[in-house]
Amino acid sequence: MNFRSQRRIPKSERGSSLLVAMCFTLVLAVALASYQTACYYTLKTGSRSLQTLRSRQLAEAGLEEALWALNNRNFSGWTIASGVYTKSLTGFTYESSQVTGRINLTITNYDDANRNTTKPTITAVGIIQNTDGTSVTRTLSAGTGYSSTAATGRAPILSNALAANSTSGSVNLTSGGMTIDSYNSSLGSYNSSTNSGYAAVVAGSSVTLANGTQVKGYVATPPSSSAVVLSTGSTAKLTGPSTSGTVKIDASRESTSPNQIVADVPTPSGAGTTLNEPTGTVHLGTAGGSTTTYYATLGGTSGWAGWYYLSSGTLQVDGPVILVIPGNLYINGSGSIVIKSGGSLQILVSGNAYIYYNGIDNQTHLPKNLAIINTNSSYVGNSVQVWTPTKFYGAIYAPKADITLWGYSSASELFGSLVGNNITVYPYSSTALPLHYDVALRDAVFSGVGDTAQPYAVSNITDTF
Amino acid sequence: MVELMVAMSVTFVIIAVTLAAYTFIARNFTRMANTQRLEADGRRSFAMLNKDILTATQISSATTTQLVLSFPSKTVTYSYASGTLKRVASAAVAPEDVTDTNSVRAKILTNLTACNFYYFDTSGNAITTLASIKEVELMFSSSLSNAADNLKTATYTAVSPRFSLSNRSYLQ
Repeated sequence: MNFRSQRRIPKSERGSSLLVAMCFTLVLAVALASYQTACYYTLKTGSRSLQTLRSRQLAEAGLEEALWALNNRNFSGWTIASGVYTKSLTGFTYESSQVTGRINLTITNYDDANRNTTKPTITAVGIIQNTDGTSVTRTLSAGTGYSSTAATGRAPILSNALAANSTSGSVNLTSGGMTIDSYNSSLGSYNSSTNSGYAAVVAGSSVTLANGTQVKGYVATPPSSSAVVLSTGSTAKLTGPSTSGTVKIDASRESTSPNQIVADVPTPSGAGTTLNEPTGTVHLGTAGGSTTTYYATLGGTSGWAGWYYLSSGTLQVDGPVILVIPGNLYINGSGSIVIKSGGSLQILVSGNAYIYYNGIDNQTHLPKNLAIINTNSSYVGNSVQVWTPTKFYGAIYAPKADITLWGYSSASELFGSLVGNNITVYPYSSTALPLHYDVALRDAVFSGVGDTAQPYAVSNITDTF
Repeated sequence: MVELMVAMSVTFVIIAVTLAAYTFIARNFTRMANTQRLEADGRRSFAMLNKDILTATQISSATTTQLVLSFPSKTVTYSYASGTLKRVASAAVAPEDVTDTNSVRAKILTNLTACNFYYFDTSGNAITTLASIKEVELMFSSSLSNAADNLKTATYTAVSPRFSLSNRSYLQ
């Protein structure tokens, strides 16, 4: 019988393989632990980044919630104490309810009785609560109004010199040497040396500048359209304060981001005084008094059915007045509207508005004191035509109506702003028709427009996390 | 003798494989640690840029390598040069504001191999005209290497979301 005898390993050599294996294992364990640590911190960083993003989304949703409450005057669910409005929104869950979120909202500086002259401040805190007890907080604070210096929290509806429909509307500045610039009526009267600037924005789907036209400001059109349409050899200009004298069209003044609020203005309902077509002078409103609303009676002495026709009489506006015309407006012949010092007029017209000859004499010389507002929700059957032989101080907000402005003499001049579906301007003969945009209109609030058409807008947002 | 040779060969192969595995693991770990650092730096710079663009009122200058943002009380300049993205403020208004262009804190991204700003209007079209810019995007590539071993080099490329100028003022 032949067999190999197994040699026994001496006691002193036993366990050497175990030691080697343990060393390998130790090195592997160190490597794995390092991997795990690196992965853990990567996961932690990524998770925190995700939670920060979520808290930002919650805070933004909170801003929207607060804006909705302000614009709808609906504070259901809000707690009001010492003029401070607070609300907490809960129930946001993520990752199978492992992570929860909530929003804490605060509105300060809001005075419901003086909604047009106060500037509410909104603070929205988005909070993400993790299962490990940690939380991520992000705070968005926002003022209201178009800027931190605005006098009202409302969004400006007259933020451009001329604004046509940005999808299909055109601004056509026809032949003549008209100049469009800006000034600030809150600083005084227009003065080409001391009170004029380059803030005039002409916005629309297309903008046509005829020979001799000069825009001191910007042209804003969507990127799909030609920003500025010029005739061959045109002498039209688009300039800013630092534009070289040899440059006609300054490309840096062409924007592809037109910005114009377009909203349907509801026709006011409620109590008011009926107003027939005047034959002599009729006084409206009271200087220093509260706003008075008048409802025009159509087809009166003139017999023009569907029209409110001022052919000879005068409406003299002595105080703040809203004139509601549930049809068409026609001012012609010796008929006129005169706005005296202390007066302001908002005309809410649902049909056509033709304002010729003496038209409307705004003796306050402040464009914000005359607003012609079209309340028609349709693009059909409404247009605004203004023939002005003198200086016209006022604003026209008619986003669904075509606006035509004629200069009717060499003294024709417009101070204010025009918002329409399409806008066409005809200077008188070859004489220029200067158009001076009043930047103070960005601060103007028109109570007749209503909360939904001129809502609160946030600005000056700050972000803390 | 033959048995010894075979045993030595097998042992040699095992040791070589083990060493290779350790080297591979070590390199991967270094690369992963570097990637994590690059990624963390990227997240931090995106958060900073997001906050600045959200609250800026205007863009004063916009090129592929430089972005100047205006605020009511300061300007903030992001500039890329020599592999570094710097953020320098004209005044120290917020805690993250650094006014010294040579400060280490001004360097918010280092080890860059590429860095580009992109600009978009309200319709999402790429543009460069200041008056039209509504959104800004940042893309960068970074690389963190080990001089002794290029295989440990980590590369990281990121594109930010399009940050919107929520406080942009009206044209004036």
